[in-house]
Amino acid sequence: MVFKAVLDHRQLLMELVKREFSGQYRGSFGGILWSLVEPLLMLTIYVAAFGFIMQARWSQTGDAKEYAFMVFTGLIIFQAFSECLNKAPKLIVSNPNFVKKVLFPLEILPWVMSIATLAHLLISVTLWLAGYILMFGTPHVTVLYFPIVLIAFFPMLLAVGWLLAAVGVVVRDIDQATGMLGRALLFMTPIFYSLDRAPALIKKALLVNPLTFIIEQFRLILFFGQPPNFVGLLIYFGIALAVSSGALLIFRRLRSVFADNL
Amino acid sequence: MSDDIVISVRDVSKRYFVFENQLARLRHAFLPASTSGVSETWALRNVSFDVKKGEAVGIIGRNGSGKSTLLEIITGTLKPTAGAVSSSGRIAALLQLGSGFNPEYTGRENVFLNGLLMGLTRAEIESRFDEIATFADIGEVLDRPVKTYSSGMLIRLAFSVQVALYPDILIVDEALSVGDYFFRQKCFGRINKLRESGMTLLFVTHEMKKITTICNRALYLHKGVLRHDGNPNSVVRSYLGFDAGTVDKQGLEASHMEPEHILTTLPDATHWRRDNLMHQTGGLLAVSILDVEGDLATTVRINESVRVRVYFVPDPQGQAHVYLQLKNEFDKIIFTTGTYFLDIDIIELQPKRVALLEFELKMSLGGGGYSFLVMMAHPVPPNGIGEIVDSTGSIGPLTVMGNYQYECAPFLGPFGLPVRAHLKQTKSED
Repeated sequence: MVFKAVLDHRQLLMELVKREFSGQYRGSFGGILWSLVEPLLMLTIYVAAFGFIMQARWSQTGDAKEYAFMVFTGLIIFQAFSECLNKAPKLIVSNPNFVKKVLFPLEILPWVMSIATLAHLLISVTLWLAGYILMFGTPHVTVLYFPIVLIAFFPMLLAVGWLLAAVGVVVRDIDQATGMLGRALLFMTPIFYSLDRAPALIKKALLVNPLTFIIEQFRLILFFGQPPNFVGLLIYFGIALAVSSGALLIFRRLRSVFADNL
Repeated sequence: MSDDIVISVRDVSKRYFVFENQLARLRHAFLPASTSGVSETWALRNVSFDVKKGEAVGIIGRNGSGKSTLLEIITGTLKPTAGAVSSSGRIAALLQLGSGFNPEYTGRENVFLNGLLMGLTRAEIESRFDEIATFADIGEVLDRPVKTYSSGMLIRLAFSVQVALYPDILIVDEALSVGDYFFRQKCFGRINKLRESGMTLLFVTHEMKKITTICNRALYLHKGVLRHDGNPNSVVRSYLGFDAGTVDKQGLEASHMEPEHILTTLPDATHWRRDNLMHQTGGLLAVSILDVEGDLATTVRINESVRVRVYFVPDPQGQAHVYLQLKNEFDKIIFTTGTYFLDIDIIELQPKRVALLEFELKMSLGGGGYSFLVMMAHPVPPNGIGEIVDSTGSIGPLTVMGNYQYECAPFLGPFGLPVRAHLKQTKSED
């Protein structure tokens, strides 16, 4: 069900993704450079604050370098998720023409957003690898597993897209709530600290966070050179599919009132 | 649906909800049964009609009468609350300005976007792209974001895209009036060509002339109800006659007037009628504006005459001054006349009886739309315009046609003054 909508409109999806990506920086001076600058800048700030000033370390024996890379890994996933969180509520609202004036397959808009987000994520991963090669040398072979982790993660982005895009039409100020949620999530996800060092009760809570598992897997393959938890990823993928199907159902339920609310 | 019917509208109603607050809106979206904080308005009520292949149907009605809602439902972007709409063939819709365009995209990107939305493949659009660009004729601008376009450029591109895709049904909602004269001409040329090949046209406009020249059928919507469906001329008449309200027959009988007298005097169709009949004090009853053929006038040519008939009941003293005022489309009063200015004797009038005053006006006015206002005044002695006791509100519009492009207009400017000219020349010396 999640994939059907997009199969019918492949060409349109391609066109929109292309446009989304090429158009994002059109008219800007830095162009695609901004996609690199933002994650790097945030990384520098966080590492400076936590790693150098507060002297946080990832493991007992770790150094600032290791800390920076662990934070970066977490941030890559978090930023993808938060990008969706921020964009989704406006997806439908900012395109009233697509709702009222033409027959537009609105269901593919969250797809466009998620694919564009994934593209940004890939840029960040490339950046991460470049940094790794510079600081540590040859990356682990297990890095090649990263598409599997992303595939498991992808339906979660779609779910956010469908749910918030639809609810955003009816409840216009939902973006206030998602903005807040995003900022809270930054610290409620093991990005700046390791899951293992959290107290038992909080650890349980953190595991409920859909980002935690993916970030952990990402660290395994990128930094520690270990294969991911395949069974876990499969289960995660299943859950993510179920959640996004639910979100799509809600989207379709609310679809009929979009035109009346814009 | 039979073969030659391409659009079938069955008992379509559309209800809009008005929400007191956001919570009511959300609750209602999930639980349509909950009604607290929700009020409703009906944009359409039980509208039914069929459109046959190749017909050109004009839709008229006041603002807010449901025309756009109806078109959106036929296009499929709105769902009717009740009833069903079915259509066959590819529909191209020009609903309002720049509809279906993403303002951030360039013209070129929007062409592809719209084509893909209409179900064409990339290759098909590419093969027609040059044709679209040539027709739109907006040059370099095609590669700039649509948000930087003027409204003229927007409609040029939108129209070019829609017609280049050879639709089976073309829906146009007042959009074309934005383009310049030559582009409009080109558009109607293209529409005619497409119609020859069997395209069906649905057309909304406020220009009655367009309805009567382009369409072979018209629909008149009044407050969401299909009031009249038939040949364009009679529908336009019914629109201009009905929309100001109809005589309340019961009110007539309840009054102190002689019913048979009124019923024989008042014509069936008028431009304006009193909704609920007046009272002892007298007042205006009905107004009709007739062209030279004696039909209700909607359009006249420059210098043609119209007769304005005012039916009224004088006040209990059997006195009343009646005034006629013309306004142009910018709401400027351009002319006022009446019994007082014309020095018409009103002494003879009898109270409680319908009187008829007829003005004959030579419309020596520049081309454009004009509205009429009729007022009744109680004469205040010793003399003067009097005290206004009744007024009709705007009647019309009456369009004065001036085709300055191709015909020699009798004059230029807002008015044609009575003028005489003599030509003389001195004899040559040699």
